Formats: sequence, C-alpha cells, structure tokens
Amino acid sequence: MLALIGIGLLLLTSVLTYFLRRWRRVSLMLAAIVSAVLGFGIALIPPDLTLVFGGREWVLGETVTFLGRSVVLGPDAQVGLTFLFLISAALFLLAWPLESGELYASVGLGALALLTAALVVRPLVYAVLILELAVAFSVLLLRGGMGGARYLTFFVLALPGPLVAHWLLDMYALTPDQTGLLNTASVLIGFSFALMLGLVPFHPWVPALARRESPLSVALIFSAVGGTVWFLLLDYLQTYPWLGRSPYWSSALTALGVGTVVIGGLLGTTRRGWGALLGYAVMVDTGMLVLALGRGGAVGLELERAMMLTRAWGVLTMAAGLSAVGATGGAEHGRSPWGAVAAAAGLLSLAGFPPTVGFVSRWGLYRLLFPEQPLTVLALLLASAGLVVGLLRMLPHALLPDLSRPRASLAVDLLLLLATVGAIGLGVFPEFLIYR
Amino acid sequence: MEQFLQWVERISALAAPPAVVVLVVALGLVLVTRRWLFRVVGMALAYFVVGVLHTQVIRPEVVLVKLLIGAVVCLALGVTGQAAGGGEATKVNINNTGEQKKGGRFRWRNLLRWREDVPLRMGALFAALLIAYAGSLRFPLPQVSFLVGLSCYLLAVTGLFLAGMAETPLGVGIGLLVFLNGFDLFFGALEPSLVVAGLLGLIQFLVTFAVAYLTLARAE
Repeated sequence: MLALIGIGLLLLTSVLTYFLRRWRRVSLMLAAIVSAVLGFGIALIPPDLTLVFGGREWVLGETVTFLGRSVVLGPDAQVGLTFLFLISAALFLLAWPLESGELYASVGLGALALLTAALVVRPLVYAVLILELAVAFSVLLLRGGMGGARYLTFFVLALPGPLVAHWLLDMYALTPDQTGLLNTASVLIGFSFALMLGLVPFHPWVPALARRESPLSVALIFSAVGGTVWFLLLDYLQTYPWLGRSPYWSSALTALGVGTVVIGGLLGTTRRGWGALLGYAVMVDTGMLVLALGRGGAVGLELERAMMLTRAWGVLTMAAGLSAVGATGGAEHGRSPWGAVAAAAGLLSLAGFPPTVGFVSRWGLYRLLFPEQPLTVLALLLASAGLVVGLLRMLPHALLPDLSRPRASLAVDLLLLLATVGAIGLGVFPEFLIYR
Repeated sequence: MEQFLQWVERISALAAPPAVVVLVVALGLVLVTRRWLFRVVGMALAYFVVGVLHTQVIRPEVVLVKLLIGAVVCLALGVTGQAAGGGEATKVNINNTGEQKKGGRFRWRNLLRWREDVPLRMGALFAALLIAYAGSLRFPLPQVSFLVGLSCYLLAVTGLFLAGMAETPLGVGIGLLVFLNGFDLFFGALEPSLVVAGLLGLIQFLVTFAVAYLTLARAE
C-alpha cells in the first residue's frame, strides 16, 4: 500500500514539476523534498501501521493487487526504495544550483516512479518490463547523441533474457526432470544482467554515456537505474536460489568482475576527459560489486550493500564536482574552486583510495579475497591505481580557473564542500553509514 | 465472429510464405538504404508483415492493436527523420560527397546513385538471411511454426546489425524497433498475456519517443 502511495505521489509531483519547469529551482526543491520524505517514510514508518480511510482499514506494508499484479513491499524492497529515494533527493538538491536542464526534476521523478514500481511488482517478469520503460524514459534526461542511444541499446538487448527465462521456469515447473531448462534460464538471466550492469565485454555504453552528457543526469542513471538493476538481481537470487548454487556461478562472477575492474582501470589511465573517467570509475566499482556478489553468503551480501552505498556517494560527489568545473560542457553556473576538489574526492572514493568512504567497503572485500586469491587482490589494487593515474593526468587542467565564468554562489560552494567532507568523513567514521 | 476468426486464421496460414518474402524486402529497404523515407516505408511494411504473422500466434484483435502501435511508431519515425533533415543520409552527403547539403533541393537522380557502403550493407542483409535460416533449422524456436521462427530470427539479427552499424540515434532506434518486433513475435506465442503484450507495445512507444528526442536534441 505504502509503495503504491509513493508511486502515485511521485507521478503527481512529476506532472506538477513539469508545469513548474520555468521555475527550475522551485521544481528541483519540490522534487528533493518529496524524494526525501518518501525515503525517510519508507525507512521509518512501520509496515504494520494501520490507517482508516474510506471506512476501511489499510495496513501500510500489506501486499495489494493492482491491475491484476501483486505489489509487495518486503524488507529487501524497503531497503532498495530507501536507497533509491534518498540518493535521488541528494541529486535533486545538488541539481538545484548545478544542473541547467529544465526537465531534470520532472523526468527524474517520472523515472523514479517507474523504478519504484519495478522494485515492488511481482512476478519479476513485470519488474523487468517496467525497468525497460524507466530506462527509455530516463533517456529524456540526456542532451542527445550516441551515448544515450548506446545506453538504450544495451538495455533493450537485455530485455528478452529474463522474459524467456520466466517461460522456461514455468516449463520446468511442469517437467522437473528437464534440468537443461534451468541451465538455459541461468545463462539468459546472467547474460541480461551483464548487459545491464555494463560488465566486460558489454561495457562500451558506460563511458560513452558519461563522456558527453550532463554529469548529474549520468549520476542519476548510474545511481538510480544502476541501483535498481542491482536490487532486481538480488531479488532474482532470492526468488530463484538455484541461480547462486550453480558450480559455475562463483567462477563466472570472479572472471567477469576481475575483467571489468582491470579493463576499467586500464582505460582509466587514458586521457579521454572527465566524463569518460567517471564512466571508467563506475566500471571498476561495478566489477568490485560483482566480485562481492560472487563470494555469496551473508558476508558477501552485506559487503555488496555497503559497496552500493559508498558507490552512490562517490558518483554523486564526483558528478557534482564535474558539473562545477564544467567538465563536459553546458555549465551555465559560475566556477567554484571546490569543483575540482569534489571531483577528485569522488573519484578517489570510487577507486577505493584511503581515507575516502569507498575505501571502507573495498577494504572488507580485499580482506575477504586475500587469503584465497592474493593475485586477484593485486590486480584489483593495480586497476584502482589506474584510475588515480587518470585523475593525476586530468587534474592540472581542472585546477586552471576559467576566468571567463563568474564566481559560483555560496550555495554551490557549500554543497560541494558537504559532498567532499562526506566522502572523506564517512571514510574516517564509517559507522555512520555502514557497519551498524 | 467465429467464422471471421477462422477466415483470418486460414488467410494468415496461406499468407505466411509471401509474408516472409515481403519481410526480406522490407528489411532490405531498412538496412541497405540510408534515406529516412525508404526506411520508414520499410518499417511500415515490416510492421504490417509482422502483424500478418502475429495472427498465427495471438488473437486478431490484439494484432490490430499492434498494427496501430506500428502505424504510430512509423509516423513518429517519419516526422523525426524529416525534422532531422534526413539523419544519416544528410551526414554522409555532407561528409563524403558534399553534393547535397542539409535542407537542400531533393534530386531524383541522387536516389539512383549507390553509396560506398551499399555492398557492405547488402552483405549484412545476406549474412542476416543466412544466420536466420541456419538458426531456425539448428535451434528452432518453441511454440511457433518454421516460417514464424525464421521471421523472428531475421528480425532480431537484422535489428542487431542495424543498431550496430548506425551512426545516428535514429538509426539505432530503427534497429532496436526491428529487434523488438522480432522478439515480440516470438514472445507473443510463449506468453499470450494481454498485459505483457501491452507493456511490450508501450516499450516500443517509449523507445521511439526516446530516439526521436535524442535525434532532435542532437540536430539542435
């Protein structure tokens, strides 16, 4: 029930902010407030709370049927939605002084409503279809060009896998002796998620998207859409536990994870612009997340969630910094000396460099892997160093002040400072974010 | 009504072989030419043929809705192609030959002139035909007849080639729509649910809308 209320509120606010698009700051503040209220609401309101409305009792966390489909707000969906809403609230807040697009709030909220629906609808086949709608809708956040087209391509190509797998699993329920159906379903689901996560060799859309688009739009896609893909993957693993029990599961994830980290790190050393560097950093982080998933068990899952939180903070800080330095063009706000600092802090966090927040979860992964695979850990460390090399090559250019642009407002400085301090402070005191 | 449905069923069974031939022609128009007008005509033909083949796997009234979606998609693609000034065709003209500028006069003789990449694109179409034929023989799709399976493979492979070879968002979008059509034709037989059919149609709408936006935003 609570999820349906949330989706309705998001859609309503999306329409409202569309009409308020000329007053960009008002619409962004409204979007940030609604997202934050929903985030805290989902996290704090007990699911068994009962409301009386229209002469009927409604339990907020109960499963409801909408258009013949179940809407379920389980504990995992609750974590996913809290993450999604709070990250989006932070992005809308940062977009207030840093994003010039008029439709950021409206399209962002619309996409958020669809992503929320994808996380709570059952069966999972509808979640994949709704995720596809959210992806196509989120393209409207972009400036146009081939980066967005590539992003759309990889997600469309990922669509058939889970849908056909759903049919295969129905067939398996009727003929349980045909185990080949399970293997085919596993391959299809794995292939689709590899496309959506941008794992090697399906990674080209990640740097292509980040290279020319507005950093905060890209951050919304990497954090909100990417986060939803991760939560859906966890849902799949929970709904179909045999997926994780396959003998090839762990080795396949290790190979894909290490491959993505190493290629991302190597490409990160090249000087292809700030946007591309953000894309490569996300690739490295995605590879690490896949490695954590491959470890399986409660520790791997806990680590995975911690890494998702730290990744979102890193992406958010770096994107805010890039917006402030006008790294990918289109910056209509003033210059801020904190832009380069925030971009560097965000990238160091994504690279897992101490003492940033990204290091905290990365340290846990290294400790988990080192006793069994010391060479893998060495490869991961070298790949992370590749991103730092890329940063050192880009930083001198960013530190040169563009005197043609006016000085940014105090709000820009404060938000960038807050994001940077958060990226470092949460690394020094990680108990505020994770390990509770 | 029952007699009407039987009549539609018989027509669709009889029309399947010529429909596949028309589909190859339509996909040839979309893949080999670069002019948006030919591509849109090819897409409209492809949507019609897929509709005819769909009658073998889903209810005729759902097919009508799918044809309607196809008509709207083709209309949107046509408007986008025209507004963007011809998309890839314009880009090639300016870059390679310099004869026809964006928004310049339309010349009929230019239609007869082959572009440098036509042999490659024809090769791609031939490869798609081969892959589709071999695929439908070696890995026949479940729940559909051979000809429908062949069409599904053909649409999916051609869509992949189109999306991979495209240089503009509009080209990528056309490729994705062709791919989605192939999958829709196959999945309609597996899952006849109306909600799934509706959501797949909505995805086609939004993909068209998204590529139209990307194309026009880029043109600006």
